[in-house]
Amino acid sequence: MQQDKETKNQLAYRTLGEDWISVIIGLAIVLVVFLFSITSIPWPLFGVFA
Amino acid sequence: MIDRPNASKRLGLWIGLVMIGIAAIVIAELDAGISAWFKGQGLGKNPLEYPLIAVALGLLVNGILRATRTHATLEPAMKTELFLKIGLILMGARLDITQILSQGAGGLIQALIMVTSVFFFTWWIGTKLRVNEQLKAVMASAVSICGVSAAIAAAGAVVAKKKEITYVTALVIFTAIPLMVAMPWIAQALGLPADIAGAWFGGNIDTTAAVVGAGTIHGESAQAVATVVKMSQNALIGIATFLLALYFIVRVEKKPDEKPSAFMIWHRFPKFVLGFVFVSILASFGIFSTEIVSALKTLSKWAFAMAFFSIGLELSVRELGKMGWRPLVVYGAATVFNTVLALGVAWVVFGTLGF
Repeated sequence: MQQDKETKNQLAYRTLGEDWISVIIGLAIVLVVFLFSITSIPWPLFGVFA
Repeated sequence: MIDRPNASKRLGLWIGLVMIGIAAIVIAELDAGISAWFKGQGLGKNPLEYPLIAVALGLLVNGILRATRTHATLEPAMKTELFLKIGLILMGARLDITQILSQGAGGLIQALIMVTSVFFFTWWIGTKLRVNEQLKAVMASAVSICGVSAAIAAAGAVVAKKKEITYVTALVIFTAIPLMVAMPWIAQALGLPADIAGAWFGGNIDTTAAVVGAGTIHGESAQAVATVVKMSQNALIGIATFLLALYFIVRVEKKPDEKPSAFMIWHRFPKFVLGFVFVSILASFGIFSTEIVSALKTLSKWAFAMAFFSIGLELSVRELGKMGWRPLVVYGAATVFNTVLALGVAWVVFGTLGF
C-alpha cells in the first residue's frame, strides 16, 4: 500500500502551527498600513489590482 | 558543519518565495490590463477574475517546473494556506459587523437558512456517497458558507489533508466563474428585481470576488444586496469552525479512553479566524479610514493572488484523480441544490417578506 505523504504530526503542524504565523504577519501588515496612513508617504503597491 | 538537506530546503524556500512574489505582480498587472481592455471595448466587467488568471499561470509554471525537475526544490515555498490565511485576516477590514446588523437583517436571515440547509445537504449526500469525514466537512463548509475561506477554516478544525484542500479550492474557483457570468443573465431573463437577484448571487456564489462581479454585471443595487448577504455568510465562519472542531473531537475522532476538553477545542480551532474577527471588530468600530480599508483590500488580493498561484503550482492531476469521482458528484449536487434553494430563499426573504 502506498504510504500517505503527510504524517499526522506534519498535518497538525501545517494546519495549526502556521496559524499563529499568519495571525502575526496579518496583524503586522494591518499595523504597517495604519502607520503609513497617518504619515503622508505614498505606497506604490496600492491600487495595482483593478 | 552545513546541514545540506536543510540548506537546500531553505534556498528553495527563498527562491520560490521570490518567484511567487514576482508572479503576484504579473497577475496584478494582467488583471489590471485585462479589466482596462474590457472597459475600453465597452464590454463592462472583466469576466476573467484574478483567481482564475493566478491558477492558470500557476499551472503553466507547474508544468515547466515538473519538466525541468525543479518542482520539488521549490515546493517549500508553496505555502497556499499561509497566503490564504493572511489574505483572510486582511479581508476582515471589509467586514463591518455594524453595517450587517443595521442594513442586513434580511441578509442574516437568508445566510442562516442557506448555511444550515446547504451544509447538511452536502453532508448527507457526502455520507451517501461514502466521502471521508474530513473532505465532507471541507466541502460542506465551502459550498454552504463562503468558498475558499470557509474551506481553509474548516480544514484547520478537522485537520484535513493538503490535497483535500487543494481539490476543494480548485472546485470552488472553477465553479464560481461560470456562475458569475450565467447568474446575472438568468436573473435578467427571469425578470428578477435587483434586491432578489443580489440576494441570490450573494447566497449562492462561493467566492466573494465572484459575488461582487455578478452584482456588478447586474447593476449597482443588486451588487449592494449581494455584498451584504455574502458578508453575513462570511461572518458565520467563526461559529461554523467552532462547531466543526467540537463535532470532530466529540464524535468523529473520540478515543474510548479520552475525555474531550475545552483545551482540545482551543488547540484545534484555527487561530487565523481570531485575527479575521479582530480586524473586522476594528473596522466595525470605525478605526480604519476608507483609504486603509482600500489598501488592506488590495493587499488581501495580493495575498490571495499568491495563494491561487500556489494552488496552480501544487495541483497534481494524478493526485486529484486518485480522489475519484464521488467528491465531484457531491460538489456538483450541492452547487445545484445551493443555486435552486438560494433563489427560493431570496424570493421569500427579499420579495414576499420585503426585507
